[in-house]
Amino acid sequence: MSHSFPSPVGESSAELLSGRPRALGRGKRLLVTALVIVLGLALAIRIAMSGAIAWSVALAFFFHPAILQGLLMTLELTALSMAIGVVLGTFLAVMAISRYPAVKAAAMLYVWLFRGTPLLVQLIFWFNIALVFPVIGIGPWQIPINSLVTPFAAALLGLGLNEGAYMAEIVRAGIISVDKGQSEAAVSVGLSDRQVMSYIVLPQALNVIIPPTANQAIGMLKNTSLVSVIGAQELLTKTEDVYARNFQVIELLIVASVWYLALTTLASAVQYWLEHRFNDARAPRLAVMVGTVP
Amino acid sequence: MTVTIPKPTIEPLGLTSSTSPMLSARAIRKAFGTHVVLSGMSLDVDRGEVVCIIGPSGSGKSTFLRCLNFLEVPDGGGVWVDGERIGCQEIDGVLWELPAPVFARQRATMGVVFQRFNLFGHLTAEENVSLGLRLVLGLSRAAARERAMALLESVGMGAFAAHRPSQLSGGQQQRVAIARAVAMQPKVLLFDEPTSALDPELVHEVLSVMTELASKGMTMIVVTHEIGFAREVSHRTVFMDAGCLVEQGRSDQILSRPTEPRTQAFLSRIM
Repeated sequence: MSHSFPSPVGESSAELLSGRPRALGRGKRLLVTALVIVLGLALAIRIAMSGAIAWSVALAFFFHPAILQGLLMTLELTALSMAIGVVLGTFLAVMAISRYPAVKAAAMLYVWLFRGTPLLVQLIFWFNIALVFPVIGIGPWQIPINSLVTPFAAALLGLGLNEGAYMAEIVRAGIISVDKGQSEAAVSVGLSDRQVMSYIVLPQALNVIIPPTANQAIGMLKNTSLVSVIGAQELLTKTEDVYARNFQVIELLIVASVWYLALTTLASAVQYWLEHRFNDARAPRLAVMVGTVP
Repeated sequence: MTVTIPKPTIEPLGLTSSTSPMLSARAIRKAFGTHVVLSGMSLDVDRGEVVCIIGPSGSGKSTFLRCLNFLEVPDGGGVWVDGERIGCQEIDGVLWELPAPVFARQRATMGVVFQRFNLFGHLTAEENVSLGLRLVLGLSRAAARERAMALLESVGMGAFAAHRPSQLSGGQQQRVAIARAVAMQPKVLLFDEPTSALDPELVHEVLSVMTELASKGMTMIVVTHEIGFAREVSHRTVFMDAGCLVEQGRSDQILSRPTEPRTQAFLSRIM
């Protein structure tokens, strides 16, 4: 018994329209695009034509030695503060899952304190620590704190200790993300708690830790500008020094902003690359390399 | 194979290792909050004996297995492997937990094969097996690698040594996990539903590796739903319900002619 179903478009397929349907609202999109471009151009032209900004000055100071010195200091502060933050954060995270309540509480108190007060306040606090502890030392060996806590040291203390609190939360989240079965398998093989942490848990936690850490590093690049209040000679301090002398405030701030943008853009590119590397199972992963170091 | 009925006492067994059981669990109690999972479970396992533990879900068989090597610390009772008490030591009539390094080393004498394999996700199959050899037994990288390769060959996974767990099927992962457990030369192997997470067509490859281990005289405790494996491979089958041992005996007897009504009801449900 044959049975033919009627075709919805009739027997001839010549009249059949096929392919992707055209999206509605195309005219509206064009209109909005044009409006955004016009407004953006108008703003740019208005700024450029105002005459208040001496672009040649901005250009001239872009590679000025003082600015480049400041840039270098910003990079140093960022790298060192992040290093302090990562190491400290890892210790705090391991403390936070300790089976000793006092250790756990100490870690939680630290995070509460350093995350709960403004970074700017902490920086000024460290810069003035000599008011609380004028000297440091044991017995006859006493060193005046002011000779130790230079603006650079105060900046490192402030940025690094603050970052440690944030990194602690990030590392803790990473540790928690590793399936409990991994450490159960590891202890049943006979690994000690420390070996379980450093060979099994932390290497696998890296996948979760790396992206937000890169985010923190990008934030740190900008947060270093806060240390200009204690004169730590980084990019913003140097910029302020220059415009205090030539009064080209906006021009110099543009120079600093362009440099900050360049650094954060570069860091974002590195972050993107890192994330993709860590998501690709076939690539030799950092986690693997860390995990197999004897 | 003689069936020993466990006594309700909590006493270490004699140290004459040739006659005493390889593993002895006495009156194990465990509760999670107010929920009592194990209420005094005892089991003796002889050298080279393969014991299957069956029972309805929630009967406490997995918890019992995890209590044997202290993945769950029992609330009461004791476990002895080859005459050595697990996790605790008695000093002047007081029970103390073992120092961490001693305890870690002791755990290596009991291999565990998990339901979800739990292979280390960031390591290759070979590294999964050789990690413990290097870190716990102190073998050199080369020696550990050599032994790991031999073990992977023995479970038919030699060709996959460089693969990550994510690149392996469930059955392949479980075979690597067995190799990892065997690598530590444990006195007892504990299997926690080793085939429950596998696709049906992959169960066989894991069971055949386990059968071979049994034939080589490995002492094994297997929590399982594989009645065929229990009947053909294990010497003894233990039926657990509600945190207690209900019935035990030679596998063919228990599985074919159970005497306890609860065992009969359970077997009629799953067979």
